Amino acid sequence: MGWQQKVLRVNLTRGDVQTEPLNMEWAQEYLGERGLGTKYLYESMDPAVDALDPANVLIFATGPLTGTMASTSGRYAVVTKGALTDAIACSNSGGKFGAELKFAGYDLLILEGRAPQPSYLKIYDDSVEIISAEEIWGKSVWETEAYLKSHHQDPMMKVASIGVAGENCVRFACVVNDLHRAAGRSGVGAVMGSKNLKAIAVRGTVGVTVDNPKRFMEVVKKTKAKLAASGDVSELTEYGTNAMIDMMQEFGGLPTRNFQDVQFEGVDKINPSAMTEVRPNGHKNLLTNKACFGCTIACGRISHIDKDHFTISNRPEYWHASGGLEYETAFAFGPDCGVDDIDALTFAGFIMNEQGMDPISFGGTLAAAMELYERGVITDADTDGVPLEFGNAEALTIMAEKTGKYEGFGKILGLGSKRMCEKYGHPELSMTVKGQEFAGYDSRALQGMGLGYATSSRGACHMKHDVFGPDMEDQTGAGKAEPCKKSQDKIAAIDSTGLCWFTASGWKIGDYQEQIDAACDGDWSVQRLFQTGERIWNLERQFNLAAGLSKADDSLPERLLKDPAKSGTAKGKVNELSRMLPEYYEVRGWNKDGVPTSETLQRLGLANG
Amino acid sequence: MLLKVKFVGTFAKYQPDSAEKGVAQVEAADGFSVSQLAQLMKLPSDKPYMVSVNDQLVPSAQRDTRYLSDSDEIKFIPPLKGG
Repeated sequence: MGWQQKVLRVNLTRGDVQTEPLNMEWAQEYLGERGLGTKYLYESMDPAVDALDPANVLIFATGPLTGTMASTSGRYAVVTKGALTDAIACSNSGGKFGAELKFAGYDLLILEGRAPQPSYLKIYDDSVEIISAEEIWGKSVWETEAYLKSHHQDPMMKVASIGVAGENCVRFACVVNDLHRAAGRSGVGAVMGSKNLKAIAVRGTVGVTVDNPKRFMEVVKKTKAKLAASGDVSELTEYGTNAMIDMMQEFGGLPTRNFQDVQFEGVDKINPSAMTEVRPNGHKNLLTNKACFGCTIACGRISHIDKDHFTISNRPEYWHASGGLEYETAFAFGPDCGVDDIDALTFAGFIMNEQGMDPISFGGTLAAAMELYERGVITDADTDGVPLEFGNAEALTIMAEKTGKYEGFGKILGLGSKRMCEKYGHPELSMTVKGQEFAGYDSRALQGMGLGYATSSRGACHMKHDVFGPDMEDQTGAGKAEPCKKSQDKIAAIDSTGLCWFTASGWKIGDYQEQIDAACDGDWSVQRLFQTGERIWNLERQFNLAAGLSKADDSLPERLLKDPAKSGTAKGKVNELSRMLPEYYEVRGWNKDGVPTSETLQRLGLANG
Repeated sequence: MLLKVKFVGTFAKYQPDSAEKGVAQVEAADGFSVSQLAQLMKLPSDKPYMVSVNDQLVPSAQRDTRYLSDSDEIKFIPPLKGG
């Protein structure tokens, strides 16, 4: 089967809890997780409603392989209209929560309306309750998870929750599960906060079945062996994602000081070597790595902060180990804000998990605020007396806490960089697409990455396309449209399986196809997976068009289009989006305004929505 | 000629014993190409990676004919992946 064939639909306004059969026709067309979540979202709401309106719908979606014995099968996606972007949001996460939701018997959890008072949802298989969150409203993610496990006397319960940031609809608030895994991007946590929903606590005992168990076991054994034999996967295990920081530095694509520069002089203080360096007092930042449910890669980092560091010297509540630096966090707090203090970066990362915020968007917004400050647009009078100079580690950690607790200038940072820069009359300083801040890849050095950023359904994002191969060979816009489109379709399909995209370090599309084909009803070929991905991508486009987005939103900030890179391999280059975008629309089967043609919609079975 | 060769990030595993902080001084004959240097340093032949010479990217197809000069600075950079 793969699918549980059951959907849990909760109307928070009315307090209704209902189950319904999964629409198997849609499952065959959209697979699961991202795809199926998108289809249900599109059919459940008017895309034009405000993201924080009760009429927005919030969907937690598992995939057909979630909770199975396949490697990395702990993934789930949160699909909604994003509070940061006003576009479709699909933010996926690992940890154990997704598998537990599947074990409780559900493919999707659909949340509608707004609870009349702060509430949380408790799901124990068929027993579903909406419970007052009076005791935990105003508490952090970490406090909430501890409270729920203690209150219900169930340490095995899995919790996804929001922190104070989400309660206050900080635009880049995320949903955190299992303490430090997050559906991080696009403000899905703000949507949850707008629904007065503090947490979802779940236990499941149903288990997951697959269509052909014997074949599935054989395929899983083979694909796990393939991952284990992959040198690229081994490096991910050993170094984590932050290995990327040295490569981007030397390549000259490491966005620095709000993308004014592309190389950072302090990189040696925050790279993987710095994480494993033993200091004179015996402290070492990195303690170990950690895996999500069913994962045989274990890219996660677990770190602790030097007790003598200014951030925690008198705060023993932070003397424990927690989620450590991953590349995007290191880039966003480090080079982008000009900070080279690894303990400050780690502390700010702790705060992101504790209060539920996306580190990429927080770092990008703070970097924009630092540029506003250095240009004199804002002053100490605006920033609660904190000098927001690039490189100020204290400013980073103070503002992380202020934003997380929704205090002082943190309320302004909580708008995200687009709204903040517009407020101060300098929209050009916001390094965003569709309101979402960039990941740590400068698109003057990586041209195809720029096209992917500009056309991503959820705004600037590095996880929805993969044009690294062509970008490593050529730093012009030539020939980037086709691989960008093809990789977007492929990743849309993989994002719909319930598996982690990082498996692509060791697997080809055929490895996913074999697992899906063995687990699910129907004949799943590689071609069908690609077409499923293309269908998903086009439905996301339809959602965004109905939400009011247009070709004008498929763009990049002027800085990347007009200000040449100052150093590195792309010195003197700007992004060639104007060359790539028309070609991209053509290979997508969209007209010159970026609207899918009737032929394209017909071919994908989307002609009637 | 003497070349300055940098082994970036996880490519430190290919650096010769003489390298310091990921940078090695490599003696090579005149007319040495990027491909020959990569072969000498035992870089993988079956996997994509990046090479820059004096901060200019050298595509795979040009590495056989991109000849090196004295004092050139070459960087071997592992393949990029999302994260």
